[in-house]
Amino acid sequence: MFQDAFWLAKKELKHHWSAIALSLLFTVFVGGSTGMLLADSAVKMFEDHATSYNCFLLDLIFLGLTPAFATIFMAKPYLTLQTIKEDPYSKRMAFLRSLPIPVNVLAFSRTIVMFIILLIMSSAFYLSIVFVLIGMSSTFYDFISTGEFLIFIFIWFGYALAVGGINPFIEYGTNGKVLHLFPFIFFGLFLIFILNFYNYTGQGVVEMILYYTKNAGWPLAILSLVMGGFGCYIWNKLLTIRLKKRDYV
Amino acid sequence: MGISLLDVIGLEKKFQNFQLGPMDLKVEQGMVVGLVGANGSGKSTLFKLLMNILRKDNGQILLFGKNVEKNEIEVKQKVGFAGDLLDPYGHLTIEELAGMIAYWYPTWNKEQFNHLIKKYNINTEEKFGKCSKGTKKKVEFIFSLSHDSALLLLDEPTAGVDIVSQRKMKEDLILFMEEGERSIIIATHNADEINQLCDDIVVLQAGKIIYSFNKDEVYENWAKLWVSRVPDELANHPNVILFSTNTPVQVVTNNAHKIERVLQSKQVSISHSQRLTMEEVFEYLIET
Repeated sequence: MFQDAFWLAKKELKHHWSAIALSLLFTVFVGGSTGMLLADSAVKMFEDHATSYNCFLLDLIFLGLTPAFATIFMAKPYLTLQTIKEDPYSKRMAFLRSLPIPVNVLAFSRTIVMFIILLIMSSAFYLSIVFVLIGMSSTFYDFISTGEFLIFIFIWFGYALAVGGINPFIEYGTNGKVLHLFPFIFFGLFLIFILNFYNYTGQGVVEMILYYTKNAGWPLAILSLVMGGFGCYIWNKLLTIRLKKRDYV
Repeated sequence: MGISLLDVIGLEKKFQNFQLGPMDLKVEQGMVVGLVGANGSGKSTLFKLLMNILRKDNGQILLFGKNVEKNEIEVKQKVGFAGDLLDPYGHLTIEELAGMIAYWYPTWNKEQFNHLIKKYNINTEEKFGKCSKGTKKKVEFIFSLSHDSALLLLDEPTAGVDIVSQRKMKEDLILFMEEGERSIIIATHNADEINQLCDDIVVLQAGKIIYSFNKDEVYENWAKLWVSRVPDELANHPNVILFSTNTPVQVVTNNAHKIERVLQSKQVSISHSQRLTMEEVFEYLIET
């Protein structure tokens, strides 16, 4: 099963290299912008509490955007509303279902693709942040050591894995309408959460994670990664069930 | 009775505006079954149900005597399916598509694939999405024939295909049937294909099988009779497909001998009769 799923995932990745490259470029750009915001965030948390920056945007990037790194978001189905009508992911799955491929191999291959994409995009994202922080001679590393920054990255990677793991399910388990509707639903939930969070804590989510990065350390990173892995496993199981039960019209 | 390759028992699938079945269908080894019906009659839906791409609501599908859902991989490895599903992978070249498909068939025959590619003049470097409709059909047809399948499910394989390639496809299907105890189910609008390839014909209308018969029965029994008048007994006779009381008074029947006897007993004269072509039969079946 693993060999077959990896084979299929490798093929899929190879066939979508141009969309992956475009997504990567966009991710690098977002990573660069995030680096500047993160530098200000660290200053506010650990030096000058009066530092002003766009905390909402930083939270939006980490909470809202990093899970999107688990998909090839610059692929055509995400960029055109024709997807609503044509439902290309379901059509792809219809073809794959016509072949003698076990459903668990299909579902697992989608999860592998998701994981590899997340790994690539996240690496690009965090490396861009590192380069920007170094490039702008930020004081960020005065407050956060390399080890702590790694913890910070793993915490967010675990989160992206847990939430982003839903992407294969949305793509292949639902339809084009849901694919385009889901980001709006997610953004709505994000708004409700973030406004309540600001209201109760008086600080941003990323700021709080920076604080716990220093104080909770590796246990928090490991917990986040475990939660990410568990989330991924659950989404994969749900996708397997869904692929077995759905119609590919 | 031969060995049954396909048994469909009480198959039913409901959609919002369409229902397929309940339907029973049996295809024995060595048989070529033509699936005929107007657009939207349920031919493609039936194929998708057989391939477990659509899930049935009720009934049972047995391929090679095995439940399709429980033995999906084993069964699908023995089926060659051409059902217009490759378009979402139009960004791949035919060579890449072949590589993607071949991996899943232990009996994939590369020599056969290359032979057919050459025979149909296909450029394997061309992206599938850039191919003409006819070429796409040919490529799908080639894929379905490139592994050692025992049953072919072909959804309008020659639609949009040039005449020369259509002839080659018929040859290949005849060859396929000669090579062993195999079967084909072919959905088609082409009467020549039915004439040259099929043993049995199944007519679908609005998701139901309305007729199922042997091809030879058609030539034997279907006729148009020119008569002096249409007696009342024939108006609702089950073997009268159509009648016209306007001049010329005609009766179309699917059992000429029986109707001739009825007409004789009613002293109705038959000025002449004509056996129907397969094309005419389809027209009557699908229209009535």
